[in-house]
Amino acid sequence: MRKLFNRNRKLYHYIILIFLVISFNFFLPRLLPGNPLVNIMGEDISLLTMEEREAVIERYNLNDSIFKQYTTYLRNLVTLNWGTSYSKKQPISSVLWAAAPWTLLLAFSNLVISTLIGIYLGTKAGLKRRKKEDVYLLSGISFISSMPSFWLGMIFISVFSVNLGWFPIYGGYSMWQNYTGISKVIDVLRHLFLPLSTLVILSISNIFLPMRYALIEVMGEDFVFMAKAKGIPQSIIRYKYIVRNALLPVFTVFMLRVGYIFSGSVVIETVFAYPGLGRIMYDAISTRDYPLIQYSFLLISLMVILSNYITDLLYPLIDPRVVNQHENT
Amino acid sequence: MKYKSWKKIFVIMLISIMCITNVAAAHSSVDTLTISIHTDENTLTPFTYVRGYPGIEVARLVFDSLFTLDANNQVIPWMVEEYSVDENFQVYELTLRDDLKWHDGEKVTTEDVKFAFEYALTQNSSRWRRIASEIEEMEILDERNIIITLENSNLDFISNGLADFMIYPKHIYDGVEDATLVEETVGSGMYQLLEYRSEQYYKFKAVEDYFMGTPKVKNITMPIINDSGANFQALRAGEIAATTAQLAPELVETFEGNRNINIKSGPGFGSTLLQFNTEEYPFNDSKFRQAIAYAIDIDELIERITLGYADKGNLGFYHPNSPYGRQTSTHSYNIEKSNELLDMLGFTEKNAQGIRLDAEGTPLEFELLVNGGSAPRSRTAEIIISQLMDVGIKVNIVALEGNTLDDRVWPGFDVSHGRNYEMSIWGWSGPMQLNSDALIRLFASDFAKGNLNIGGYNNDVFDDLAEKFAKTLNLQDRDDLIQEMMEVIEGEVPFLTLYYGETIMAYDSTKYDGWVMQDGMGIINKFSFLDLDTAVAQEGVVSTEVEEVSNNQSSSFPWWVVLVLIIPATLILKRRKNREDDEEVI
Amino acid sequence: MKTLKNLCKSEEKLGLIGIALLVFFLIVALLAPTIAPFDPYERVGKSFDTPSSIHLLGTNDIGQDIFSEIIYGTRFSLSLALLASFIAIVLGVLIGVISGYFQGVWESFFMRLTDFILIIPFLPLVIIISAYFSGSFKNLALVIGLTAWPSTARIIRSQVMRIRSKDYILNLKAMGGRDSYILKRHILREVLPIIVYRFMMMANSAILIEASLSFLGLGSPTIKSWGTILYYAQVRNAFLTDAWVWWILPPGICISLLSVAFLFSGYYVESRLNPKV
Repeated sequence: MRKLFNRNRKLYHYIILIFLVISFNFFLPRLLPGNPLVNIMGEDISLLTMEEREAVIERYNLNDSIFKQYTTYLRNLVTLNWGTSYSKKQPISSVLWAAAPWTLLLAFSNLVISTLIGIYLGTKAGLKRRKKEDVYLLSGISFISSMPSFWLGMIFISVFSVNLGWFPIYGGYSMWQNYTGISKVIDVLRHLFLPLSTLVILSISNIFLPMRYALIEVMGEDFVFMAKAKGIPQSIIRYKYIVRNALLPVFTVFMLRVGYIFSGSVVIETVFAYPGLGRIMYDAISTRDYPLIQYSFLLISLMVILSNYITDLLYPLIDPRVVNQHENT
Repeated sequence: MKYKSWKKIFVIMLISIMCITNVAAAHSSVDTLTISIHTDENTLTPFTYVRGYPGIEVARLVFDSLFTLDANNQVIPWMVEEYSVDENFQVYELTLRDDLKWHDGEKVTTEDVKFAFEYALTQNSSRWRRIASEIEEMEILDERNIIITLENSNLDFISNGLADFMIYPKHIYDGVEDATLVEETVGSGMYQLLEYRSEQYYKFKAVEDYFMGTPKVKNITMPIINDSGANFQALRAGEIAATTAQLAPELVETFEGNRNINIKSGPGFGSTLLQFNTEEYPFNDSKFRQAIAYAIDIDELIERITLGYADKGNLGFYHPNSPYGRQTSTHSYNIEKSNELLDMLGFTEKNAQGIRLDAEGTPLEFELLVNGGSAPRSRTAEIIISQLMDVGIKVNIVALEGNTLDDRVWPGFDVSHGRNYEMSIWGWSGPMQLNSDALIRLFASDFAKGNLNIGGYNNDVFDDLAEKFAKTLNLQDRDDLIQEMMEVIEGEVPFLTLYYGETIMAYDSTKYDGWVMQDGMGIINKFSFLDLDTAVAQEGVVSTEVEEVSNNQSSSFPWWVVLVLIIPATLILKRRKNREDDEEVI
Repeated sequence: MKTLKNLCKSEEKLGLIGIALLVFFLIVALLAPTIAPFDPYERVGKSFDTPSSIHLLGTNDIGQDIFSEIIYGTRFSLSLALLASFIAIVLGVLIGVISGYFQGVWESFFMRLTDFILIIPFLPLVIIISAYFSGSFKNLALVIGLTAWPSTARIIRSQVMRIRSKDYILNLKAMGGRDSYILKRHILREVLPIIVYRFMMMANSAILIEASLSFLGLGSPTIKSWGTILYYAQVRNAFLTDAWVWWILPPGICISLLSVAFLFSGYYVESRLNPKV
């Protein structure tokens, strides 16, 4: 009974959050100074008479009361009638769908690669605690994670693209070549390489630090001493007892990062002119493209909520202790 | 051990990726030109383009207008074969060419023309609406003849209206409520848009039987590269033949060292100016504005910010090369005069920081708004405040995001809504320089006429001249009036035009060399791809070729000497005897 | 023997490096006018000059000395990081303590708010908020501070909840100890090391956020922070010419060093905090 209540409470909590996010997405762009008219009507807007302007404002329902605009927004949201972007003059859904795969490709490969490297190095450092290797790894990874992302990207472009000419400096693929099959894949990979490397280098510490920390904590737990006392072989203790347990908190961090997979990296996408969602959102803000801001924000936020929810659901399955803790609070 | 093997795998992966891809990146065929475009301009129709440049300029390759501006910004008939205008400049009788075709094969008729003007009134685009709303009625005589009657006479209807307004097909747009939703791009221009991928590329194909001749380049691909640096890098790497993006002055030197790349520069019409809110004390006093103008060293701005690639701003706003500009109205830098004027205004006392005080003892301290997203403008502001400090005026820069700045200087894009600033770094785009009524729109105190009067300027003498201007139907009288108005403005300094940045374009001459520079616009225009026999277009080619020589003396000198000798020679020969074309070709 | 070994823990070694770096930057910031050869606002050379004995790192796009800009930039970047993280910490601690100690309606309100802000993607949120403000130094710190507090609030809350249920606090409460007394005397004292640790972490990210915002053109183009130097280097195409070596590399290295200095100092505090580690 109690469990059921708990689960419902969680769900209820998420529904409130979703509603908050949806409303927030509506009000946020409208609170921004400036207005989207110039993007709807073009640069000669000052030449229009007041009536002509009013007519356009009317057509875009920008004159309705905020409440009415809000209900219209809710209705359109539910009916998937997302409308057209003011600045790009294309349906919102097609703008977002064109960009989403690029962001997903970049973010997902980064997620997988940096997680694997992070776990690997984190284990190495944690187990070699108080040895030189740990100091090197910890300081090295802390240092590279403290580099500004755009700066690292710019350095990569200068060195590898401009001076050495190994990689293209912008975009997701060569736009004027009609590659097909394997050469297309290679082309995409070649464009992916630098932005991905930048992201991976900067995100290793996100997994490395919790992994190392968790290992050190687990190593101090009683059951590890017990196992040692029992004479269980070192390698089994290491991988079956320590690493496995240490992976739990890392899982949470991982899921949290899954949530941000859509938000991409505005900065990296800008530096490499990568055609993803982050850039679209950034452009949308500067052009006051209300619908595009709304829906791109919404997409990203919902993704975060969803992955949080999945984490909440999965966690008790992986770590049975959590259930009890939840009931206590 | 493990580290080493990791490294090995990484290196092998890297090398293999590079090897395979370098093989894959084979060069494209000769009849295709790749020109990058620096913004996404949607489907490039008259209703979906985003910016005047490059949007409209590229769209002009796909859509034609009845008249057009040539490389020297002179009006020439385009879709129109013959035309006549009555002495009131109110009734325009046009005859279309007989060989006009839409890209889908349909014939272009006067029905399309009439429809285009009428339909524009139902749409959002302010640019087309403004032109179409001047028309009172249109009478179709037959498929090729139409009479357009304006509500009021307008001397510039051809240059500011018909040479701008793009004609689009009735059979595509008829009955469509929102023109932005039309996905096909069907024009009658020299290039047909084959494919557009949002944020990715455009592909164009030449219209073989175009009425002005077959375009010289068969296919054009335009990748969309939003990042300006990336455009130049692609050009340097030989990936593209040209770009719509203007070359930054600081890159000219680097690019001149590249043997394949040529650089053309010409006057640009976009202006950067110091805008005053003339409704606010003490900016309401023209003496004070003059004092500020004298304190600003524009030459330093030009040298520092544009590295010399700019023309000094004229006090009368019009660029000396614009049809209405004059050479005489230049600004001068004179600190003594500035101090003199400020003393005369009674700002003699100074406080401990050396800032002048007004009669009530308040220091002369002001806010200067600037678009924080524009580096040249914020640098301009930075230099200006240090120059003004020298005459005892303290100015604080407030950097705002572009839209927020618009909201304070030009709320709602309607000057009658008032304004909320003291000074701002502002600018007007190039086409303003081609409008005969620019001064009236900028300075008339009646906001219905002075719809760009963002400084709230009010001057009776100017208003009287503007009144006269509206009634004038004689070109000479009108030009005289413009000169008179300019004189008033020169003395009053409602804003201070700082500089007009030059247009600098770079292209890879090994890929294509037929570029024609259109004054104030750049090299991406119809004339770059057409073999026109009209003198204007040819002259454009010649003058710009000469310019290239000076840029490339070191790298490929002998070649250019030959070219310089040959081109004028061919021109002269061509004009004299048209029949033997083959002979002159190198 | 054992104490000696403990002292040599990785974190503590790094911590000492971090603190040394912080002291170094602090000295540079304080002595900027004496160290810097030129006034960074003065246009002392020709634009885009290459490095020379006069201008160690060349000049920028309007002829200001880049080396002096970087020296002065220490002041802005350091004080901005401190101010921004101070705002974030004050907010985070306040909200964390209130919801952890008092619970009830306020707790659920604040925790929903925290969840909510954590859900909105961070940088876009900062972009939108900074569009409201003009890009002045104070506003920049405010924007970063206002968006960076939730993670601290969460951590502080859980710590306060743990401490609150400790026996001695419960005893104090039973004996009629006033909340304000318990909060000040016991709870704040116990969470203080965590606060210090969080402060270091916040400062670490504040520096990076400021740099990113300036890079995107949302910072203040008129203050001489390291981020602004990089912004101008980028918009004036330094990375297409040789200038990237002297115009882009040095400020980036400074950003990384200062930011890692905070991180290392944070490790030090953390290792003191958690004896198990």
